[in-house]
Formats: sequence, structure tokens, C-alpha cells
Amino acid sequence: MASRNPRIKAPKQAKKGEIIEIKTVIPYKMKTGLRKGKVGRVAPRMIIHEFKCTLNENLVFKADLHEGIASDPFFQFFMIATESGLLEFSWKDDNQQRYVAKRELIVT
Amino acid sequence: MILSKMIKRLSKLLNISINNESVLSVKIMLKKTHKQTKFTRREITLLAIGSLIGFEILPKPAWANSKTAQQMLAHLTKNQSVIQSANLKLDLPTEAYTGRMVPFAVEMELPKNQINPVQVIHVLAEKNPFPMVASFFFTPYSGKVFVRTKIRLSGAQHVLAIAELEDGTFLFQKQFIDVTVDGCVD
Repeated sequence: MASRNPRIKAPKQAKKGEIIEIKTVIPYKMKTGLRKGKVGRVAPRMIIHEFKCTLNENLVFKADLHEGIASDPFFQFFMIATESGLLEFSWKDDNQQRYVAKRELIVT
Repeated sequence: MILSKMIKRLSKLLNISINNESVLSVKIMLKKTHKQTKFTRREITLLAIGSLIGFEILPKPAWANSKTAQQMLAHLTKNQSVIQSANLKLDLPTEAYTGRMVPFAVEMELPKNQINPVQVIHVLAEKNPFPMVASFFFTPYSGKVFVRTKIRLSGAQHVLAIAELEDGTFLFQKQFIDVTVDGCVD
């Protein structure tokens, strides 16, 4: 299995009330369930269908994904720095397996 | 003669030795079956109906169950009216060679210091085998109503973004993109 180390670009420090930018990407071959092999076997659907970002277990951003998302799902979004704490990113795939990454955020 | 030759050639291909007698018997059997394959009109109609039923029962390809973009739009908006809004902005190229990875961004421009009224932004690609692309959920923590990602597109088509506001109204914006190579096969 290929490594599934998600890459995250988020600031470590921020001022209170500042809008910060977060970029995430996870290496994942998103199989749509439409591809047929040469033998005629259909590769089953295997995609990441949920992405979540939470700060101290409060939801910041969520995405429900379907077949129309390209492989290696990438997201860029913004959040308000309200309090310092733990930023948690989680991806869930069709096998119900979760991939989690954590980053500390210090708000001054 | 031609039949026996063909059977011999087949047997050679399949590594089966067939002597002349069996060839003869096969010939006779074929003749018999040929005679027997006369269907009455009733049988033919029954066969046609049966095949139709079988077509319904047999497993369909995955995309056959997917809703069309129009159905999906009606389902998402609960048959309410959708207003085209200039504040909702899409950022995607007007043409792309391959639809495998098309950069896409959607943004809702708001007046300063206004609390974010957008709850969800749905993205639809009207001619994809699965028209639903993604739904993005925003919260009071999200500073801007903005998201950038990469999407798959199957061909030249409109890409729609539908924003659901807190008061239950729906806004939409669409843009046409010309895609040469289908990106939805993977």
C-alpha cells in the first residue's frame, strides 16, 4: 500500500481574529468504479468520501465527496483563528478507514 | 463438407480428437436442432418479454443508477426556486485538455463584518456519469466562504455551484468548460 501521509500547510501562530489559510492534500487513487480492465472486470469504487477539519472538536470545515473529485484530493480553505488548540484533519474512505493528521495552533 | 472441416479445425484448436463418426453425429444433431428451431408467434412474444424482464433484473452498470443533473438539482433544492447570483464566483478554466484534474474554486463574496450566511455549497457537473461532485459545509469558524480543489469532468459541459443559505434560499452560478479528453474513466 502506498503511503498515505497527508501534507498540510497551516500557520503555527496567528493573531486573534485573523483569517488563516489552510491547504491539505492526501495521496489517494480515487477509483470511480467506472474503469474496466482488459479482462472486463470493473475496478470497484474506492474513494475518499469525507473530509473534516476540526479545532478543539468544533467543526471548521467539512466536505462530502463523490466520484467527481480528482485523485489526490486537495483542499484550500480559510478559518478564523479564535482560540489556540489542536487542529485535526481526518479523511474517511470507502473501507471506513480513517486517516488523521494533527497540527497545533497558537493564537495570541 | 464445410461444416465437417470447421468442426475439425475447432477440435484442433481445442486439442480434442474427434473421429468421423462423432462429426457425423454432430452434423445430424445440428440438422435436427435446425429443424426444431421454429418458433411460434406466441413463443417469440414470450421470449421478447422475458428478455426485457431479464434486462431489468440483470445488474446494471454503476452509472445507470445515478441521477441526472436535473434530478439531482431538484433533490438538493427540494424543488425550490434557485436564483442566479453574481456574488457567487467560480474560478475554473474555460477549456482543459484532460478532465482528469481540473482546478476549481468557488467563492461567495460577502460585505465586510457580515456573519457567514452560507451553510452548504454543492458542486454539480451536468454531464458527468455521476453529476454530483462534492458538498462543502461551512461553519461560523470558516473565515471566508471559499474552497479550492480539483475535480474530474467527462466532457464539454456546464459546472454548477449551488449555495444553500441559512434562511432557506438557494443561489447558483454556472460556467461552461470545454474538456477534450474524458477524465471520469479512472
